[in-house]
Amino acid sequence: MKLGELEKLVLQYLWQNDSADVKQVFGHFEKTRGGSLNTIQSTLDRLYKKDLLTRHKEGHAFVYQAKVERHELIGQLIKSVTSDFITEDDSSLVAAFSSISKEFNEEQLLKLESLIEQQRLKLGQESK
Amino acid sequence: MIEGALAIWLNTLAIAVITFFIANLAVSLIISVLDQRFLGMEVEPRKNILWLLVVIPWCVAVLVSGYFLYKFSSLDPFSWSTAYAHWHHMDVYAVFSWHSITLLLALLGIAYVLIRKVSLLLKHKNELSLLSGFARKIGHQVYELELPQACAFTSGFLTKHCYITSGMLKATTVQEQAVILGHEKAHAKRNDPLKKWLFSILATFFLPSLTARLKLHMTLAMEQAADNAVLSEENISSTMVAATLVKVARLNAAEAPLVNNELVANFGADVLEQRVFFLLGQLELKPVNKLLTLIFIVLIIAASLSAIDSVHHLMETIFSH
Repeated sequence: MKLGELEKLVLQYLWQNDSADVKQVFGHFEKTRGGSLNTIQSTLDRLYKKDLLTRHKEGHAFVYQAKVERHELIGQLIKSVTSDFITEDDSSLVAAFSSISKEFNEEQLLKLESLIEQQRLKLGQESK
Repeated sequence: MIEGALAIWLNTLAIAVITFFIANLAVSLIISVLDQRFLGMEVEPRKNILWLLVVIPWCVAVLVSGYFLYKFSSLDPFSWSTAYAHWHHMDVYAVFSWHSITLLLALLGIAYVLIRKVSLLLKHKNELSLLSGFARKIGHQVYELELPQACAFTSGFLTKHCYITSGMLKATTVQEQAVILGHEKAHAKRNDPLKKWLFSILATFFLPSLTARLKLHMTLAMEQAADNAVLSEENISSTMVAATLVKVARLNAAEAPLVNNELVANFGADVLEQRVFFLLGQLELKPVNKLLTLIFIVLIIAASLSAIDSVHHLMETIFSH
């Protein structure tokens, strides 16, 4: 699923403004980048079909809202594309610096930090 | 009942499937026995051994079925019937037989794995494409994602991209970022995302517990290789890489709740510990014994070749054609 430039801008607008109908969105973009009401309507429809927006009817018009916040969406996408291929199905598709290092306890981390410090001291003494 | 060329091909396929199971069983036994020993092998040879383990059942299946086909087509019927390994009805194939059930199950199994992997690949591609829409290019192959959590990863099969979150950039120093990005670029250079995907497909044909062990070993080997690649860069020491690794682990641990599943926790911790021990030179990694590896390969081929007739006869004793 790829997002076009206008789709990203509309999504960004809805992240900044809780909800809006097509006229309000068009009103904003008419001043900043031009375009027609139909273009904005079809952009909102596409975002809705991509499951990025929710909508409800108020009078005759649909009012659109972003389904999740920007950070939440990025976080969900990262979690999904990096889900560990050892424990979950398949993220045999990424090689992550940190994805395999999420599950430890404080004791294990302290032990490793102390080991690294010892090695640093040892190397420091050897180089003197 | 099918006779002639088609029967020969169907019987050859049946032989390939049964051989695959026998070789898979033999390899599973090796993995179970030598599991911990893999950790003591040098990184690159270990990766080769892991590839060999997942590929060998397929190769043995092709070799043994090819051998049967060759023997059938090159010898006269009398010497064929007394040969060491034989299939007494090579040119006759009973459609309603256990051979057909074996073939059908094998085909369904392979189709299920491939369809599942491809659909997951497409889902991943979609999500990554959406994610890249929110990314900002900050260097060659490197993209920043605006997110408070610390994360860095590499993805893509042909066009490889390294992603790093703004949270990670904020929480780390320039030198630590050089370690993280050096590590990610090493993954990209080695085509690790594609290799991991292919490896996971081949590993899926083992028992689930062995699949998980194989993937864990491959992940560890790939991570160690990428850690090692960073050391070739100027002004980056092994203690620096190890310290960055632990720091990122600490950042992740602070953000993600601890997993209760002991097995999962041990997996993650083992990989981190092994990487740190490796960087600090605390592991005595040894080269792979090539002669022993060759003996294992020959033994698996010989076992598959000699067991196929027994399996065949056993099945035909239990089930009729």
